[in-house]
Amino acid sequence: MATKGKHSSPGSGGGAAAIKILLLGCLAVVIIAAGVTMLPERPDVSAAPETQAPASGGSLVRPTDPVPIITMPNGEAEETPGPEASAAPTAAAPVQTAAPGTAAPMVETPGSIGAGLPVTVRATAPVDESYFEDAVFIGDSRTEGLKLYSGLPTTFWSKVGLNVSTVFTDAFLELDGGHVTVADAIRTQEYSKVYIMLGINELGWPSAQTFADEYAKIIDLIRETHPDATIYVQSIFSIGRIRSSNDEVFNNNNVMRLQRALCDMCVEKDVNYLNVAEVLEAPDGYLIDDDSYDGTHLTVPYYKVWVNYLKSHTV
Amino acid sequence: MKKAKRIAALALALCAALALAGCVGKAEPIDVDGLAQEIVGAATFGEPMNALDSSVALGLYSAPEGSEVCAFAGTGATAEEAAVFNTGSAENAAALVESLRQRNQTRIDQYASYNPAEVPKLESAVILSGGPYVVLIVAQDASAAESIAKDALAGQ
Repeated sequence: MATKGKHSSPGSGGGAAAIKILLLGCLAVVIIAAGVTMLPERPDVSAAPETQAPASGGSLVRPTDPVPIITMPNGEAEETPGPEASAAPTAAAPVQTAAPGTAAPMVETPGSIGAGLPVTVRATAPVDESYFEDAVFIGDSRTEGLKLYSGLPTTFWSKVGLNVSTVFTDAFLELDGGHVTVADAIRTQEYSKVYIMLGINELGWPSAQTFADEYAKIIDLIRETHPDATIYVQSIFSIGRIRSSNDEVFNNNNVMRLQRALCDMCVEKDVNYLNVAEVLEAPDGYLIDDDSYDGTHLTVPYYKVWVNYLKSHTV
Repeated sequence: MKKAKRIAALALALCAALALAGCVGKAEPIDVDGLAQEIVGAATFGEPMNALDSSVALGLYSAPEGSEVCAFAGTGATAEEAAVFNTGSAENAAALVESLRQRNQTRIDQYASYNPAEVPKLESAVILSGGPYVVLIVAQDASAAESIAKDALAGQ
């Protein structure tokens, strides 16, 4: 008996199968394609990074804590760096700058401030001590030490406590039967070279610019009275670590504050800058003389170091 | 003959007496370097003392021409110093003493504003003379050194 409802024709079973296979294949492709689009993208390794890690070796460090304010006589207030240990550790830390790509930060020191200026005296062949016979050395107690221990055959116009102002007012020099100021001596005496080292007694001055301005007057006076004289402005060399860390006035921050103003003055006036500080400081910027009694004055061996620097830096 | 012998004996005695008198008046010369070293060793200083070149010291102290000196000083951190001079005569020594006292007073005035802690040392400065010799001591404690100086100068 034939069954009704269902029709089948001879040869149609293979075509249906093919169609089924085709449909299944299409379905599989669609599924695979869908699956691929859901996977995360791989990065493109050929493109430059959008950001770079900071260069190794340090960063610019600036004091962030407040520093003591000192009121100037004219009523203006000016910041004066205090001792390095009294405020928060970063308040009086040396300014550190990192040259790109360097491994260690460069610390600003009294010696580094004046290095490489157009007016900085370069190293030369050493001169004989006779070079200093027609020179005068103007200075404070540090120069007094040079007078005692340098052995140089030269003239010293120096006194403990001398500063850029008392050069014009303190008649302590015994000359020509009387007492005169250093300024008087500058005007009246004969010399061909002038070495000046001042600044240690001005470290407590609120205004570094005032220091530089007064110093400039000395330069002007020398040029006015002895236009052919060779002038050497010597840097203010460092204070010892212990004193610098504990003294409100005698510290390297104040040395560097005045040193910057001094160097600016030397550049402005085109006067020779003798960077003595660079041979009298340790790598950390403090006075190299560990035996210094008070962290300010040198012991005898280091006066010899100073003298050798003078002999090997002339114009 | 007897008279001649007496005269001769008296003459010899007189010569001996004169010779003795000459010896008593003569003082022993002082070793300037030695005394200076002894003084520096006996005094108490706040910082190590350093020997000065004699030409520097003669200029520093405005010593009379022809003087011999042995001097020591600090590094500038203190007002301390010590020196022994042979000026050649008692007159030169007196002049140097006066000069040193004036210089010391000037230093007192300077240090009063520069470093007041040093003023007591200057106010206690030892400046002594004996014959042609002069001694200067500025120290934390000069008492022992002063005794040595006084003993050395006593016979001058």
